[in-house]
Order: sequence, then C-alpha cells, then structure tokens
Amino acid sequence: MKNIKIYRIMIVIFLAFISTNNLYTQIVVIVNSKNPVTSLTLEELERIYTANVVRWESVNDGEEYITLSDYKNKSDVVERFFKTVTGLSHLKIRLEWIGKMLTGEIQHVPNKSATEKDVIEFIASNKGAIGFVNASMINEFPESVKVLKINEKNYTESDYPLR
Amino acid sequence: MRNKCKMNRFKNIPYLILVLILCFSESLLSQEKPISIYGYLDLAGRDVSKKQFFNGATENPPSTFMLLRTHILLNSHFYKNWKAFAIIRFQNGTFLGNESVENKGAFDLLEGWFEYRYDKWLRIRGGKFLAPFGYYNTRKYNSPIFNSILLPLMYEDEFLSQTSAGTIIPPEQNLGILGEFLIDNWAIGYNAYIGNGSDTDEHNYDVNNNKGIGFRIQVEPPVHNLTIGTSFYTEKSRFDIRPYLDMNAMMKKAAVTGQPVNTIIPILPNVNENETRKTFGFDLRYLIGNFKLRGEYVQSDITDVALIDASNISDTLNTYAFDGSDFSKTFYFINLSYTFFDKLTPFFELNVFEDPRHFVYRNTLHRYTLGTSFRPNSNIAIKIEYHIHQFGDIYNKVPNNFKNYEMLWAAISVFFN
Repeated sequence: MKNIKIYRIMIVIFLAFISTNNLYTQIVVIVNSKNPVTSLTLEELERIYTANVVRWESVNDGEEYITLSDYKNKSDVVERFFKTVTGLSHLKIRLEWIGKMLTGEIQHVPNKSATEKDVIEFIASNKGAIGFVNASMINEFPESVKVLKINEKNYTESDYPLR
Repeated sequence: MRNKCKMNRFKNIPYLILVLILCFSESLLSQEKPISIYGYLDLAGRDVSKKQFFNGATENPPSTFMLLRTHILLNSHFYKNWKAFAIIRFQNGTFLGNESVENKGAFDLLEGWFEYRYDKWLRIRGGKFLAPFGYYNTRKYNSPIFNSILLPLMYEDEFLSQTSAGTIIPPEQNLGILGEFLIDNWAIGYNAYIGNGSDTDEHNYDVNNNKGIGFRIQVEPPVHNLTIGTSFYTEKSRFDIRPYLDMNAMMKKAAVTGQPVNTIIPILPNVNENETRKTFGFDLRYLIGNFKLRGEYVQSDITDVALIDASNISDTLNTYAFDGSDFSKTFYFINLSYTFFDKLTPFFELNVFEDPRHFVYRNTLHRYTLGTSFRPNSNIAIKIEYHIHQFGDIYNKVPNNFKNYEMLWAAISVFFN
C-alpha cells in the first residue's frame, strides 16, 4: 500500500516537472519598447534572420536598420529557433550572413552575446534590435524590452509557433 | 622648395585622420557603423595530372601551395539611404587567374559602386558591379562560404579566355535598378541594368558603342530556402565570334595547303557589325535539411554572323571563311551536397559545356568534381576536391596536349571582420 502511494507521488512530481519544463520551452522574440512593431509572422521573421530584410519598414519610413542579436555559443534554444524559423542550423545561418556581407547587402555580422541576459541588455539599449530568449527569462525583462506576438499568437497560447 | 614639398605632404594628414576616424568610429549614424572593413584570405594549392591543354604548354605545371589572394571589402551606409561598396583584391600569388608574374602584388578593384535606396522595391546602383546574371555570378567572390574551391566553369573567366571559348556570363555592369516585392509571402526580386558591353578594339579599349542590357527576375516562394531565377542579357558584339572564325579558317587552310596550325592569328577581315549576342539563363537553389541542390543553365546565341566580303582582298580567303551563320553555346552545372554533423559537406558537381563550333572542345567538355569541405566554425573553410575534365570529339589537327586531364585542389579560406 505504501509503495503505491510512493509511486503516485513520484508520478505527480514527474508530471509537474514535465509541465513546468514545457512552459519554459517557448522561445520569445523581443524588441526594444520604442519599436512600434507588435507582431511578426514566421515568414517575416525568416526574412529578417536570413538578412533578406534589413530595415524596419514600418519605422521612420524604413530608415531604421534591423540589428540582429545572436549568441556566441550553441544551445538548444539557439538551434531550435533557427531551425524553426529559417530551416537552417546556427552555423549555416552565420554563413548566410557572411554571404550577405560579401555582396554588400549587410554591413556586419549580428552582435554575439554570451548569455540571454546580455541579449536582453542589448535589446534594451538598441532601438532597432531584435533577439530571442527562453520564455523563462520573461521576469527579468526591463521596461525597455517587449515581447512580440508571432503569427498573432501570444507565447502563452497553445498554438504559439515557437514552442 | 623642399619645405613646400614637406608642407604639401603634411597637408594630407588631416584628411588621413578624418578617414581613420570615419573608419573606426562606432556610431556616427544611428545603428550602423559609417564604414565596415572586412575580407578574407584564400590559401590554395593544386596538382595537375597532365600538361595544361591551353597555351601550347610543353611541361607539366608544378604542384603548388601558396597564398593566393586577399580580398578587402569596404561597406558603408554613409548617409541615410545611400550606400557605397567596394571589393579590392590583392594578388599575393600568381598561379590562379592571370599566370604572368607581373600580376603578383597587384591590386584590383573588382567592384565599386554607390547605391541609393528609394524604397524596398527601388534601388539605383551605379559604378562597377557584377552583372546579376544567374544566382552565383554576383556571389562569385564568396569563397569563405562556398563548399567548393573552383567556381562552376561558366564563371571561370580565366579558363574560358585561355581556351578562347569567350565569356558566356555578361561582363561587369555600370548602371542598374533593383528591388523586391512581397506578394502573399512570395518574394519577387528584379534587376535591370546597362553596361559597356564587351565590344572593344584590338587593344581592348572600349569603343563606346554597342552597350549591353539585361534583366533578372528571382522568385522565392513561401518554402524554406528555395530560390528560382531567370536572366536575360543582350549586346552587339562584333568580336565575340572572332576566334572561332579565325581558327576554323586556319583549319580549312591547313587542310588545303598542308601547313600546320600553330597559333591563332587573325587572318580574316572583320565580321558583320550586326552580330548580336543574346544570353538566357535559368537557375535553381534548394536546401532541404542537410541536403542542398543548386544548378544553373545558360545558353548564349550569337546571331547574324557574317564575314564582310573579302574577295577584293584575296582570291583564296573566302575559301576558308564561314558564310553568315548563327552560333550557340550552352553551359550548365548541377551541384549536390549533404552536410554531416553540421561541419562536413561532401559534394558532387557536374559541369557541361556544349559548343559544336568550338575548335578545342569541338563538341563538349564535361567536368566531374568530387570534393568535401570542413568547417570548424563559420569563418574557416578547409576544402579538397578532385576534378576530371573530359573533352568531346577533339579536332584532329589540334596539338596533342589538348587532352583530358585531372586536377587535385586543396584550399583554406579564412574570413575576417
């Protein structure tokens, strides 16, 4: 009888762990609060991260450049984000950026941050910047950073595309 | 006087300081540096199995491994919607490209242009830029991101010029418009351009007529990493067909007189000024997971070719000459690659050149390439590849060194910024 209780408790703990973990597997796309953009489609995000779009067309008549934020190191969040959004690995997306530099389309490779905190700080201090972090970081966002909807979905919704 | 010279020398220092400030200042414009300087080094070596088939070489070329080229790129969004871009090449070595020793240490401006952006759908570019013909022509200096060392044959100007095949891809252009439209998640890009054409006199000076014009449309459907494009270019080019005519005339002359064919010297009068070159291209690029397919097809037609009547120059000349005719040559390549562990990418490439009138290939040249690249990170590519060149029905009269041959290449490309 005691054994059954222990099993039940273990299952509850396991399920709680899974559900908590799932909550934190969403990736949120963030921009500076001064940026009037509130939502992007996955296709728009792909064109931004493949550097096919280099300006915020809706900001100052397209005069504001998009400043991409990247990570120095590989991680599950980084690989998952680029695979979902662009279909490319982190290394291949970097090659795309170098290719765009070599044809003059962009001027430099995106800013590389070591940690998600660095990304948040970078976004907070650059009006045209865009980046992504794990949703678990959302409590650490300052006022100068906001989360974008993707395909008009909030990251808490079940059909949010960056899960 | 000497002091004045010294003064003049010092007069440039403020400008130099200004340029340095511009180069290294972080934020004169809102988000972008005023100017970015970056580039890459190519270190490459090769081993050729047989005597080179061009230039009548009598000895095997030596195996080499040397620092070939350094490319420096300058990129500046210097004022609102204005941009400037330049690629400068420093030729450290001698064997790739122009083989003459004089080119060692040479600086070349490969591209240099200004661009004004009116909107996303309209940008105006002027200066010297690669013709946006096909997907890879405007990217042909991107060795740090390519998996292969050698470009597809249709982009190898040096190879084509040495075999007298003539360029098939349009030369650099001077003025163009470009832009992009988004329609229901379909990205449709366009280019339209004009340039000096390839019409030159016997000293290779531009003769200031017969300008080239072209356009390109590129479509990216709402599918990850699929790009399809089509291109067209036309120009009047009186001298493009010249090597064919001269060589064939000499062949005919040799058959009549028994004299051997040694070198190419013009023996025919000018060809018809109505000669027109039209080049059409189709290209495809598709990445599916780790699998990548790319290919291009180009057909170049030269029409209204005719020799000016030479009967008043020589009784026998017309015996060797061609009648008015159309010439056509075709290039295509297919490259298949697969990436393992995100770093190792073996590939196979097939290049085909078909030119029924060509005096060396006579019919076709096939190049088969097996190679692989390894990337420890995004800035370094280590490559090795093996090429087999097979010529078609070679004309009997050509020297023995016009034969099939193999090459082994190894290279390292390092990007810096």
